[in-house]
Amino acid sequence: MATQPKRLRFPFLRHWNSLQAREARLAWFLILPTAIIVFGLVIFPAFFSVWISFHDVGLGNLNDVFRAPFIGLQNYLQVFDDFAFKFQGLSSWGAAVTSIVYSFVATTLTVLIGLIAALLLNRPFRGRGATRAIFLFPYVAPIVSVAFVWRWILDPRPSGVLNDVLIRLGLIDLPVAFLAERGLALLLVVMFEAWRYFPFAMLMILARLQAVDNTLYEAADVDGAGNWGKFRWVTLPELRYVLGAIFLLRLMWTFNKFDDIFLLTGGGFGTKVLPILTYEFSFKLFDFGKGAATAMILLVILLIFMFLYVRVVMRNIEED
Amino acid sequence: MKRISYVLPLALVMALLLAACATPTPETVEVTREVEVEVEVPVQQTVVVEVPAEEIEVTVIEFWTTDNEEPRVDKYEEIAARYMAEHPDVEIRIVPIDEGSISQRIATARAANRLPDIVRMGIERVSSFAADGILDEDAAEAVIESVGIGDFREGPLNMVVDPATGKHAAVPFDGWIQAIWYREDVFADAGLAAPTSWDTILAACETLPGTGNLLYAVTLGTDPGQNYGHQVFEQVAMSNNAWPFDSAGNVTMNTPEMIEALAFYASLQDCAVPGPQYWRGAREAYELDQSGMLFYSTYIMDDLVDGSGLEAGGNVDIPVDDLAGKTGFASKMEGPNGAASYGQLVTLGIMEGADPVAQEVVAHFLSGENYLDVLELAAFGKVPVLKSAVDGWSKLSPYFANYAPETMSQIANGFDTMQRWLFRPGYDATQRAVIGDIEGRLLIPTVLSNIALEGNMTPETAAAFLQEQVEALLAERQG
Amino acid sequence: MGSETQSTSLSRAGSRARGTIIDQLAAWITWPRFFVTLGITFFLFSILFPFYWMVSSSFKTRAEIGGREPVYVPSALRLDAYRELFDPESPIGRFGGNIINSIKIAIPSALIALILSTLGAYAIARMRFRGRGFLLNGILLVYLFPGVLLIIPLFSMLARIGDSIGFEVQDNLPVLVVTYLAMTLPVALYMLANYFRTIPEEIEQAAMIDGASRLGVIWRITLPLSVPALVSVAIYCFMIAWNEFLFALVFLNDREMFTMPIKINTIFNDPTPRPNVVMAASTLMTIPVVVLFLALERYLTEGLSAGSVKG
Repeated sequence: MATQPKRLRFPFLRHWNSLQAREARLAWFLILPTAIIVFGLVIFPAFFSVWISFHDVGLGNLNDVFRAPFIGLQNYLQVFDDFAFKFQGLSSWGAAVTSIVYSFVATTLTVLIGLIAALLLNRPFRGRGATRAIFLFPYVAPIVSVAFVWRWILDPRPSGVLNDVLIRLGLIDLPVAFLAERGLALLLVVMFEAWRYFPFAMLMILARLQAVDNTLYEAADVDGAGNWGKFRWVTLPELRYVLGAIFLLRLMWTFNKFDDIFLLTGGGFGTKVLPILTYEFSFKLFDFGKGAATAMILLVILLIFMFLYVRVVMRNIEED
Repeated sequence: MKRISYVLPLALVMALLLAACATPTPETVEVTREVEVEVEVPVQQTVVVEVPAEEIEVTVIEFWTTDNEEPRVDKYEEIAARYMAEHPDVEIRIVPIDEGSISQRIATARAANRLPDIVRMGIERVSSFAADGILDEDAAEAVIESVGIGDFREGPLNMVVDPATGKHAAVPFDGWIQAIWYREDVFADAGLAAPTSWDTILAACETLPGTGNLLYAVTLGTDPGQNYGHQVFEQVAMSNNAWPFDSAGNVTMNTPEMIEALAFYASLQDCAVPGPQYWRGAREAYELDQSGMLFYSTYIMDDLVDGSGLEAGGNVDIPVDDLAGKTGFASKMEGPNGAASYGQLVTLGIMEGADPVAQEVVAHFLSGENYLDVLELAAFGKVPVLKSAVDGWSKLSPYFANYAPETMSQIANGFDTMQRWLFRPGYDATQRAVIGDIEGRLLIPTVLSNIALEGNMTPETAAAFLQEQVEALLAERQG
Repeated sequence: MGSETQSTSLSRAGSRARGTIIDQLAAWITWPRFFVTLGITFFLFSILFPFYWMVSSSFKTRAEIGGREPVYVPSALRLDAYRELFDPESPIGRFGGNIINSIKIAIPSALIALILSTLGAYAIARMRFRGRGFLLNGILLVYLFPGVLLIIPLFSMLARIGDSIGFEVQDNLPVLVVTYLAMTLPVALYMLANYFRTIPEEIEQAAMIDGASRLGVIWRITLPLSVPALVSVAIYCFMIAWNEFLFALVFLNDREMFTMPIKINTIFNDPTPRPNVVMAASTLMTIPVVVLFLALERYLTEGLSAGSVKG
């Protein structure tokens, strides 16, 4: 993909009937439906959303958005000043900081657990295929189902499993509302993310692991490296690129994630991340401009991070 | 690798482009023109369609109801069918809708330009919808006029007046009264007085856990995502004469009365069901003999007899014999600086752009048998707003027999003493809208969970926080 | 593979020490093996327990589910919850209709996405044309935008188009299918394009020299060689459409039109708690995806990994 063919440099019309030109037309024809759907339903609305974020759009003019009054940066200023958005000390992080902490910790944990799972499954053993398939369950099961099961396992009412187990073990005296304690709730949401998405990381890492050249391990054997040495000096370097790419992808997705937290805590108890705040501004307060501004802030944070990541981390990996 | 390095610069360029497009440019103007053209097209189409269809031209009235349980929807449809039988040119579509999702549904309907004609909704939405201009106030006026303004109870009528226009913004429909329901038997055994004041509630809080089978004294609304905490707290606040604004229009969320109310509420958490709770857990804990007091609306009354649950079999299995008979009703709460009762008024809003037929349909639902049929769906949770309906209503439910006559009369006249922050005489439209925002943003449940569950706010810091937030909301509404 | 040689030598050691089972086990077990077994057990337990809890709870009675302590094994396989779920009279019943809605959305989404992305991916992978890089990157940009950012503009845009062409944007399953396509096509395109690149181009060139057209080559050569990737893409798209929550929540209004996730959310939020019914509905919704995955796991690992790790 890096090598763009030079043949294309010819003026297009003169070669209307040339083989390349016919190829190009066919190619465009093949990809056009996909392009139209994606550009029309994602890229255009994204631009539209920018427009909304600079206008005063409420329930009153939602049916006629284009006439909404232009209010400059006011939506952004209001969001920055909103109590649910801004950082107000350690006991109340605000959605921006919560979002960043949540996505980074959850993504790191996801990749780490995915790595462990992949290493466990890398050696052949009886029933490996079935085990690998089971490991994929959390990732493929519908979010609504798994979120509600976990909510119920963590429920503070007498029928909650975790409370029952902890009480029987004598670790706690009274039921704890796990998803309703600041800090703990965020931690559990992070763990839920890791539980649900580690299979994705696992699959990618596993594929890379199986492609590692055996001679490298044999060479390490000759050098007298132990298991840890082989992992540290052979496996890890081979995985660096994959790990970096998975981290970036998962971070992007986690940062944008709405359903998981919405279904688990509804955004309460210190788990209000930016997508939830966006939803609340739009659908609870009917301030669609503010909602769009929040989403744009989310996007900008993500872009800045991606820029830094690709600039610094990925470049380093590539140079190695 | 290469792919990602391609995406990134491109994304940044896009971001720049986006920012550039944000200022109004000629392109935007073109878009507006396109829109005007688009609008004309459907108009022409409708004309074409209407000509051949003149004989059976059907007006569709969409009626969203938060009475969304199946038997209730069936009843609404039955009442609608009676109207349609007389008016073959009208089709009424009853659409059940969840209370929790109504905001989002209204928003999407508005965006799609498909607002329903009639929406059954709580009074707290009326003022904000009126402020947004999506309610047809003239239509509401006309309905109230045609049903007979003298037949409506005065309390409900006053509540729906839009202070900005002086008109009735929606048509009162039904409502309920909130109270502390409590275990009279346990209270009597333990020598406790009825929980009608802060002192008696605190005494019960200390005594009830561990008395009989009870594990807790009460369930507080502490779920920051649920409005239940607000409903309970508002009564506590009003009982201490704490209101969001003073007569000069200043925000008064950090007064000593408000702080005292917050502290009182939070202190009850010591004897309350742990974790974030709202009405569902509260009801369950009371019915399952786990807590001895319950903040709830009159809706609970039949459930206390049968166990709350399903029309289609399977209820909460109440382990207490004759729970209803053992349950007392305390709707009024006395605090150190006042007293208050709390309730909810439900209205039928006629939405902007609704067909005039909608007015007839609303009047139809408020007339004679039809109205009683609606009330019968949950007689205890639907106190009539029409004086003429009180007689019929009081014969609607066999469950009446389970409760004391004084309880019954308290309920029937509930609207006359019922108070809300929202309807304090003298508050103007802006202040009401701000109170609507306080509920909409769940500010009260947020601070309640912060004080009572998480402990990262004290009543004082919470009051300061509320003051700051409400001032900001006010500034935003004024600006 | 290094680990393989190690494990074979270990198992040889095991077979030499024939004796009691304990002896065999003692000979078999080594510290690394112990940790691996422990690790896999831990993973299996934490993955399977929630699923066990979901399925077993769907067979519990109301009393078992609302009692003072959790019931780990239901006393009998009671179908009460399922009966309630399909009860045409019950307020939360008629789940059959919701299942059909989900199928009506998921299968067309998967098929259309498969067809469109195959065509597009082939163009990206094999053909040279101006604007290819721009297109590919533009399409991948979709990853960047959160659903909540898109939903309002997308909705009002579709409402406007609907107004002028004459379709409803709400409660319209095909509209939902199209929005799901926008979500799944980029990934599908990317995965397939990468897979197509792993097929040696010489095979196709040979066919072209024999006079086959491009489309003929795709149909007769590329597709048969790409079955694992095609299966993966179809299942991926099916899964996204089957599981999707936010867009369905906003686009669907009428209970009869709800997809399963929205219906389950409604049952969960109903004033009357019915955890066993929620679990029964969740079970019904989870089974098809999980079965699909188990049945096609072989293709998936191959297709998914070839698609995404390259490059």
